[in-house]
Amino acid sequence: MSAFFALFRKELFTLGISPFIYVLLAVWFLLNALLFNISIETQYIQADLSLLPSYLFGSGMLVWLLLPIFPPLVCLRMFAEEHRVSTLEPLLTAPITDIAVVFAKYLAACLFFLIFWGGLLFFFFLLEMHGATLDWARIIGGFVGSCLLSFLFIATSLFASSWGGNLVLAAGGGAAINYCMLFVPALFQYEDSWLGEISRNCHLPNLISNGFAAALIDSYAVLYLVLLSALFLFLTYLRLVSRRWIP
Amino acid sequence: MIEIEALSKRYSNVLALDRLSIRVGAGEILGFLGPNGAGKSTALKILSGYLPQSSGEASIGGLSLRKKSLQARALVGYLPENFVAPNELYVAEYLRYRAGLKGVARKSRSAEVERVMKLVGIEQRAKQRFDALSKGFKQRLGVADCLLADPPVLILDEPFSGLDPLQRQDFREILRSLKMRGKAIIFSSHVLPEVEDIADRVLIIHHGKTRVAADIGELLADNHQVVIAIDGEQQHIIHQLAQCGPELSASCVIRDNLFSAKIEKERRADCLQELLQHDLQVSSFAPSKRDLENVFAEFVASANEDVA
Repeated sequence: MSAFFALFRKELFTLGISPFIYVLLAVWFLLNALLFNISIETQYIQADLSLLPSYLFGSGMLVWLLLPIFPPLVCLRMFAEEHRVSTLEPLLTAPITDIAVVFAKYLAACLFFLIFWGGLLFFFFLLEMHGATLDWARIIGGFVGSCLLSFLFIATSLFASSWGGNLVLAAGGGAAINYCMLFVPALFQYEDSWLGEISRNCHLPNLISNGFAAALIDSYAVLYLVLLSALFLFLTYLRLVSRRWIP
Repeated sequence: MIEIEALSKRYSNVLALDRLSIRVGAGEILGFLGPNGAGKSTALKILSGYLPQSSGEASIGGLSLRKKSLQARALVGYLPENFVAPNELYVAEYLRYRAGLKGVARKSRSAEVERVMKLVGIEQRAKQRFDALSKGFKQRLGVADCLLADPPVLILDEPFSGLDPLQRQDFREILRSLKMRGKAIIFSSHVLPEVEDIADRVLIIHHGKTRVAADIGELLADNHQVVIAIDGEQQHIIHQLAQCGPELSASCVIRDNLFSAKIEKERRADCLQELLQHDLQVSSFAPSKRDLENVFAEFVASANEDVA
């Protein structure tokens, strides 16, 4: 466990001192602040503030457009950069298991990503300070759902990052997988066939906005997001250990 | 400590290592030689636990790298060919992180980092980042990393590459002191005088096959070559030598009036007598000392002939 925590702390530290991450955070909060501002200006949200969490955390344009890009950029350094600058070999020859390497990096990225979503909670605190009556169950539900969705995107991004030292491929590949997971179900969700049924059950923004942001703990959505994350982490692990199998 | 038995590694159609066998004991240094692409780095990567072998067995301290990789890796300090540390961390921070990775308890990490920095002489660089270090100090940091948690086995891939003569000298001293501390060390190098200077044994491989595995003293021992210096005009000397017995008539010119001949120990006095009988002014008659570069060149050349 000492090796796991040493790597976890190092990853967290590396993320914490990276200027690039602060640029991402600045862009994220700027765009969210704009979205928040636009949202509370609209009449129907002013009429019912309980809609705001699903707008910010659920099916808003942030999820569709921005969220798939940010995790790959955060995870860029984790394997691809290590591969590029040749620091992966000393890591993988240390007495630490490959699965511990994957988990330490994943958990560090997840913990760091909490700052991205945690910052949005600040906007709701501001609203409450100005006298708004908020439904905190919906807010926390939306926050948890968005975090779980981000953790899934982090898992896919780690997988893309594990493919080699090409940073463009790592970022682009991660974003491409994330966009596919968002858009492909959206394309078929209105069809009256088994494909439509599957698409509706896999449509990520719906899982968040209909479940978490509606203050419901949807066990199906939790299980779906956790299992999908686990699948991509397992694929990352396979990619890492495949160096032992390549003839 | 290090045992390799009939180790082979195949990359697709290429046989990178062909039934390689090595044994290195505690307090022993093995120099691992071979031309580029001979399979040295592949063998060292397998020993470090980074790559698996295709067949054969590799173990560290009796622990199989295939079956007990994690435990075996804990016994190894490995310096990769191009050692790089993350630039975000200071030297001391990096070593603390690596000490954690190698299972050093949190409360002893600072002391352990101090110990290895002192051992390789990088205490003054503790607050520098990797990119700010000279090549020599980067290599020292790599060795410091290897020494964390005091592993009994050190595997160093090209530790002398890019070092200036003074840095090489320092590095030799570090390796010698580690040997005295009972470490089993295996290192690859193209800097043959360094290998000759510090290795106890050498292993020369070519096309993945072992060409030589010998004690360095035996390898460089007298090989019947005698260097003869003769005063006088070169053409006359060559003419006179041609009149001598088979050993001397087959001698060859090294340069100017310096000749080399293959003469067995017990025949040397007779040959010297023969030279004097032919009125040759012999100013020196001494067995030649081989150096590792010659030996290496000979074996690689003969290996190339075998392949051809």
